[in-house]
Amino acid sequence: MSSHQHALEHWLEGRIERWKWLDARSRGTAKDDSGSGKEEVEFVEGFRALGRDLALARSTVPDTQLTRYLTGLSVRCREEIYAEPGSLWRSLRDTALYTVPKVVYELRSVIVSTILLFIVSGLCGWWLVNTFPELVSLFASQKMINTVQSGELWTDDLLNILPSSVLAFSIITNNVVVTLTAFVLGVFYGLGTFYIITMNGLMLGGIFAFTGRYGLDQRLLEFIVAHGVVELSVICLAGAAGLSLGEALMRPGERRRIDAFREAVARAGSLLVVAIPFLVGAGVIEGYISPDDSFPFEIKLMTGLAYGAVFWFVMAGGFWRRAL
Amino acid sequence: MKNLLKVHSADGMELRLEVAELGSRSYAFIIDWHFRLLLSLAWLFGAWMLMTGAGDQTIRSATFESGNHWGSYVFFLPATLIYVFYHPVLEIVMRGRTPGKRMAGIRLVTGDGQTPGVAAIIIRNLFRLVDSLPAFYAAGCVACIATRRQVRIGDMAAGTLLVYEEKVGDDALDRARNLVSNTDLVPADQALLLDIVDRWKTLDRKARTEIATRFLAKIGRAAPVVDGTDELDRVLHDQLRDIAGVSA
Repeated sequence: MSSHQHALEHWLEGRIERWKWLDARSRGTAKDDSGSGKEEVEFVEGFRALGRDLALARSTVPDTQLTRYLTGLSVRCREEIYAEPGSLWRSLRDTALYTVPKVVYELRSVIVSTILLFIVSGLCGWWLVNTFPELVSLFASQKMINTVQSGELWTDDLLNILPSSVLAFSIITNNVVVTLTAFVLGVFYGLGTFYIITMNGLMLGGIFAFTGRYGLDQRLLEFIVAHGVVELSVICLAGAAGLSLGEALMRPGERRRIDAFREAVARAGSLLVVAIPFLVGAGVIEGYISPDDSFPFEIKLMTGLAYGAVFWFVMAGGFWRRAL
Repeated sequence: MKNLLKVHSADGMELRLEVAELGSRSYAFIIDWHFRLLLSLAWLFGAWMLMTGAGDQTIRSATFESGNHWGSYVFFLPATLIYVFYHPVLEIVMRGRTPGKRMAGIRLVTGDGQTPGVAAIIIRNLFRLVDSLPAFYAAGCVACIATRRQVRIGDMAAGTLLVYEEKVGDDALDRARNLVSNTDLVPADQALLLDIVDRWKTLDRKARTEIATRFLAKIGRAAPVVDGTDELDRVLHDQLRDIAGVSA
C-alpha cells in the first residue's frame, strides 16, 4: 500500500463515524439528542469540518461515490442549519396584514390604470354594440342573443337549472381560473393581461348595450351588482399584478431582467393570496343572492357595496395604518 | 462539461450541484403524469364501483339522477383535484420532490441550493398555465432549451431549478473504507470498479463480461480462466466484488 493510500485510509478511519452521526442527525434519525443544545453545537461544528473534508475528497478522490456521498451529506446538513424559522400561518398572516397593503400602495398607479382600462374598454364595448348591434355576436353566444331577443335574461331561470350550491362552486372555479390567467399572462410583457382585461371590459359593456336595446339592462345590473363589485375588483387587481410583471420585464431598471421579473412575481403574487379567497364569497353571493328575485335591488346593492368595501379595506390596510 | 450550480455558504463551503437537463425533467414529468392520471382514474373507478356495486338505487339516484349535480362533483371533483394539485402538494410534502422526480434522481432547489418554500412551489406550478402553451408544454420546453440553468418559465418566476440528487447507498462509507484498505487502485479506477459492480445486473451479459475483463487487465490483474459463459460471468462478478470489498 502506498503512503497516499495509507493516508487516505487513516483519514477515512478518523472521519467515518462522525459523518455517519451527521448523516443520522440531518435525517432526524439520531438518538442522542439530550435537549441540552450540545448536539446542535456539535452538529454545526461537524458541518464546518465536513466542508474541509469535502474539499479534500474533491481533490484526492474526485468523482467517486465517497465524494458524491459527502456532497449529498453537506447539502442536507446545510439545509438543516440554514432552515428559516417561522410557520406557514405566520407567513400568511404577515402577508395579509403587512405585505399586501404595502404592495397595493406601491402598485396604486398600476391598479388605477387597470381599473381605468377596464372602464374604458367597457365604454368602448357599450358604444360598439350600441352603434353596430350585430357586433354583439363577438361577445355573446347565439343562445344568449336569442334569449335576450325574446325579452328574457339568460340568468332568469338559473336557479331552476342549477342549485345554488353547484352554481356557486362553478362560478368560484371559473373566476379563480380567470384571475390566475390574468396574472400569469403578464409574462408576455403584459400583453396577455392587457388582452384579458380589455376583452372582459368590452364584453361587459357590449352585453349591457345589447340588453339595453331590449330594456333588460336594469335587470342585468340587478343580477350583477351584488357579486360584481368584488369579482371585477379581484380581476382588475390580478390584471394590475399581471401588468406589473410586464413592466418589470420591459423596464427592469438596474437589475437583471430575470431578477426584476422574479421580484415582481413575488410582490404581485402576494396580492392574489389575499384577493382570491374573496372570490369564494363572491361566488356564494352569485349562487345564492344574485339570481334570487326575492332579494330586492336595494339589498343586492348594499351587499355588493359592503362586500366591496370590506375587500378594499383589507387590501389597502396600509392606507389607514400609514395615517396612524 | 457538467452544468453545475455552485453554491457558496457563509461557512466558506462550496457545494456543486449538477443541473438537471430537459431529458431528466421530461422523464420525471412523464412518470408523474402517469401517476396522477392513474390516481385520478383509480378514484373514478373506485367511486364507480362503490356506486354500482352497492346495488343501492337510492345512492345512484341521489347522486346522478333527479337533476342532482352534486353527484357529478363528488364523482369528478376529487379526481380533478388529484390531477391539478398533484405537483404542488407533493413538492411541498416531499421537500422539492415528487415520485417521478425521485425516480429520475432529481429534486427541486432554489438558486442557493435550498429546498424551496411553499410560495415558490405554488408560483412555479401556477406558471404551468403559461409553460403548457400552446400545447404539450412547448413554451416550457423552449425555455428549458434556451436557458443556461435549463429552467421553464415557472422556475424563472419562482427562482427554482432542478438538480440531480446525490444518490449514494447507505453503505457508501463502508465500501470506500474497504476499497482503500484492500486495494491500491487510483480513485478513478475505484469509481469505475464500484460502477461496474453496482450496475452488473443491469448490463448485458456479454458486455459486462467484456468490461470486467478489460478492467482487470487495466489494473494489472489476471482474468479468470473458466469454461462456459455463465461460469465466467459469475467468477468475474465475484472477483470484482472481492477487489471492491463488497459482500454478496
